[in-house]
Amino acid sequence: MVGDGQLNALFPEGSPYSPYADRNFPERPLWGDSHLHTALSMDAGGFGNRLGLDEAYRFARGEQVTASSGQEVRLARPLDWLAITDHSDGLGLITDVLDSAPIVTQYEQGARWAEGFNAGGQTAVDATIDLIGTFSQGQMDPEMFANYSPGSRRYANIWGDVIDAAEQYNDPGSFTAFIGFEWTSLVKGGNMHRNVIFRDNGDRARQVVPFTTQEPIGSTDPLKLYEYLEGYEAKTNGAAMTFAHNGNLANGIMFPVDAQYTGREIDAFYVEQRAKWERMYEVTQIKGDGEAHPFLSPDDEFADYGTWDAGNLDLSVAKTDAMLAGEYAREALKNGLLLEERLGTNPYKFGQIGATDSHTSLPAIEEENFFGKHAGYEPSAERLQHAFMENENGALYAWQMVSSGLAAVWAQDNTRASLFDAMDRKEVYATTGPRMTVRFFGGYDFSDNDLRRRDVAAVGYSKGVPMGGDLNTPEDGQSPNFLIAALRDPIGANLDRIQVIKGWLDADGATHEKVYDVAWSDDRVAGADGKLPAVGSTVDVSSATWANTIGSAELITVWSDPDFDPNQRAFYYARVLEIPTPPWYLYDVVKFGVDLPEGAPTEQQERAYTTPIWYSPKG
Amino acid sequence: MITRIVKEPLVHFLLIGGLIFVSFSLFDDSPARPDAHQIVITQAELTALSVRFEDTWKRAPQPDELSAMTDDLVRERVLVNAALDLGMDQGDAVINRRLRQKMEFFAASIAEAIEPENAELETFYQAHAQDYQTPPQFALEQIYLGNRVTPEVASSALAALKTGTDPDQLRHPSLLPKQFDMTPMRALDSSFGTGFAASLDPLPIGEWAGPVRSGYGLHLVRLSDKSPATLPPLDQVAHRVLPDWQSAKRQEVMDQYYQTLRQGYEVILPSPDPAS
Repeated sequence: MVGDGQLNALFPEGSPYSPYADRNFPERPLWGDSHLHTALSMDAGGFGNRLGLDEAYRFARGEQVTASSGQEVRLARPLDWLAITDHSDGLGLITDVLDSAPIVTQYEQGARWAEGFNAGGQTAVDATIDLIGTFSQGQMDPEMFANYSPGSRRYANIWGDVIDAAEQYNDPGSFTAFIGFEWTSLVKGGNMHRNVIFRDNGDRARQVVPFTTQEPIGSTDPLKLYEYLEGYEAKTNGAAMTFAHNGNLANGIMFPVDAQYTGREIDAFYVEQRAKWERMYEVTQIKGDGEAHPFLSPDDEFADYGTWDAGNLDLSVAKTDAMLAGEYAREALKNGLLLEERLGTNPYKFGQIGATDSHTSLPAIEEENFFGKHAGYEPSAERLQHAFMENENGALYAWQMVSSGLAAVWAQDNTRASLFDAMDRKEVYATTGPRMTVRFFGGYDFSDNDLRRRDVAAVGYSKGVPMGGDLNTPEDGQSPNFLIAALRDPIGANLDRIQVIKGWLDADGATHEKVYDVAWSDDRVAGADGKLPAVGSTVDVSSATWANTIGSAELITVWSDPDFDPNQRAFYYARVLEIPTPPWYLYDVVKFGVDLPEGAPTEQQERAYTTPIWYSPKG
Repeated sequence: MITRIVKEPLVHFLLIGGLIFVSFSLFDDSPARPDAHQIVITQAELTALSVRFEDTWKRAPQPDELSAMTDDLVRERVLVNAALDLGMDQGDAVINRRLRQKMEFFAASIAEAIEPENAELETFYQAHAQDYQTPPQFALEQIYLGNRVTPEVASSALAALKTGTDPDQLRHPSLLPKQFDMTPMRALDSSFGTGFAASLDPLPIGEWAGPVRSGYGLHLVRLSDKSPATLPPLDQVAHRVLPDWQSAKRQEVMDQYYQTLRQGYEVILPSPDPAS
């Protein structure tokens, strides 16, 4: 005999009988790349990318295409969505140069480059270097460049082509093509780049052209970009957002605390605007992983992953330790707490996503299928021999390209609106490429019972908030706890562990961080120092293979913060580590029979970073 | 056979294209080949100069401005004529590329003027049906048995299910959803690994069956519904089919145009060097 109380617990009043009715939460993460360049981008076309919008979309939705280097290429699995984000400055100039179109060849520079590209070989390479050098020194023929800037008919037409292609390939329910662009702000070589995507269809996006960095219409100041976005929404009743990337190449100016690079003080206006428009941050991509840096997080044994810290974007200024705090996501999340305390708004409350930033039109970042940063680094026996960048300030070698990353979005439907809204509420996470499923909920009422039925989503949404959310105010004596689950990529490596990274602000205004191991595989026991032993490795270097004989296909736990102080601002996010697997260049070593580059490790641990859940004391 | 050819619009256009080509050379009423040392500027060209000026400056040019533009045009003609005399256009990659493009644009513009007849579009649609069909969908329940179970264990689990054992007693704990409403193959493959959805196809509806292998291990599956790949009516997807047809047509016209021109030339390649 079941008592009434028990019955009520089993069938809460107001809930439908069917466990599947009213189930309107996202069932599976939708995988995509928010950052891809085609031949329309000046640098992409210049370095040999000959694939346009069509090829990029066809490739992303799973079709085989011929890469610029002439090789056939295909993804193991299609993406669910894609944002093509070509550089807005000089958009389409390079493709017109390659076509020797009169609109460029009537100018001496245009004719010179067209001739160089058409000659091929080293002459073409020299033309590229000449072109990029001319642009970065501001020496472009202004009349020629005006045709590739807002206000010209040609520019509007090229933007129209970008929109047309997105409209053609956008297929609600099965593949989403966002309309977007990259705003390429570079301040003394410091990377301030941001992508812009629109929630809307072409009818609205066509009412504007992209924002650029060239004065007087454009600007390198993010505050002007926010004005542009404000203007777009006012004009069209649509919605747009922006997100930055590669703080690691910004030499300290990506996440300012006291003053902007312009010298302008960080005030309430700045933090409000930044929080309003910058909804996400690309925390990992080919040009380095920017979650954490070993200098900033000396106690985090996994902080040194895909670190690019030689200098700024063009390596014109070497990096100093003092710059790092303004560059890495975890430090920004911590400083966001500080700024919220000081100014009332947290400007660095962003969703964490991964992206490729590939310039080949190919978001091909699977380790065994890596097509490089730009067309010059598509697979070949020679590609590992080159330095990617090298000068008196330092060097980055080809093997240091990170075959990363992807964005997972917890959206209900595969449509522009549903995906955008999920990004806007920051229910997103980053991975360095593998498609592991990660659920992360915070609340006060989770218990070990919630783990049994594995109904993580139903329990998580009903008893807590998902990644990107804010914890409620606790009752006296309560500590937040978290329901966390990770399932490996169905065709990928097992999982080593789940960690929670907590950052907080103490009463003296100092920020802190701590990494907790919360779930792990193989029944390991922490040592006397509290440290969990390494999971081991199955990587076979001679064949570039690994086996899922260690690690766990899934990990799940409820974790409570043992050090919670209700008076301190804090954030929590999960990091999920795979067991060691071969990095992309080890596949090159095996496939091409070339030597392993000096200093290159033979294994790595791919990972996922969720967006945090934040806690703010009441009042 | 003849009627078939005459009805084929592409042939018409190629014929017209060919005629244009011929008429250019035969009936061109501009001075056939101007005297090498004569520069003739027509009234039409001066008007074009004025129009272009007005486009930029929003007013008609003053006489001295028009005269300066005319001088510049003359200068261009003189230099271009002299350059042509000197053969400077020969082997110039940019000029070759532009001329080639102009010919290709010409062929493409012919193709773009062609409207498909309904029957032709329908034929194209059927021939490329696999690009437009809605993929198969499945609705199912699944029981994950783990990654180390033998097929024998899976078979006895299946037998137990059929005699009424509660599925939850057989289930290995897993984060994979237990039930899927009608879900496209692609989404199932995304959750279970490539190939999983295809292996569901032979399974019966309404009965537990399996085991089916995923990227995680073995599963027992009960399909509750499935829909085969379906080809929607053409008018529902015409917005996708038409651009594809046009792009295929453009390629076809360009190839045929090239072949037509190609027949007018004898191509002489260097004979293989006997020494090499």
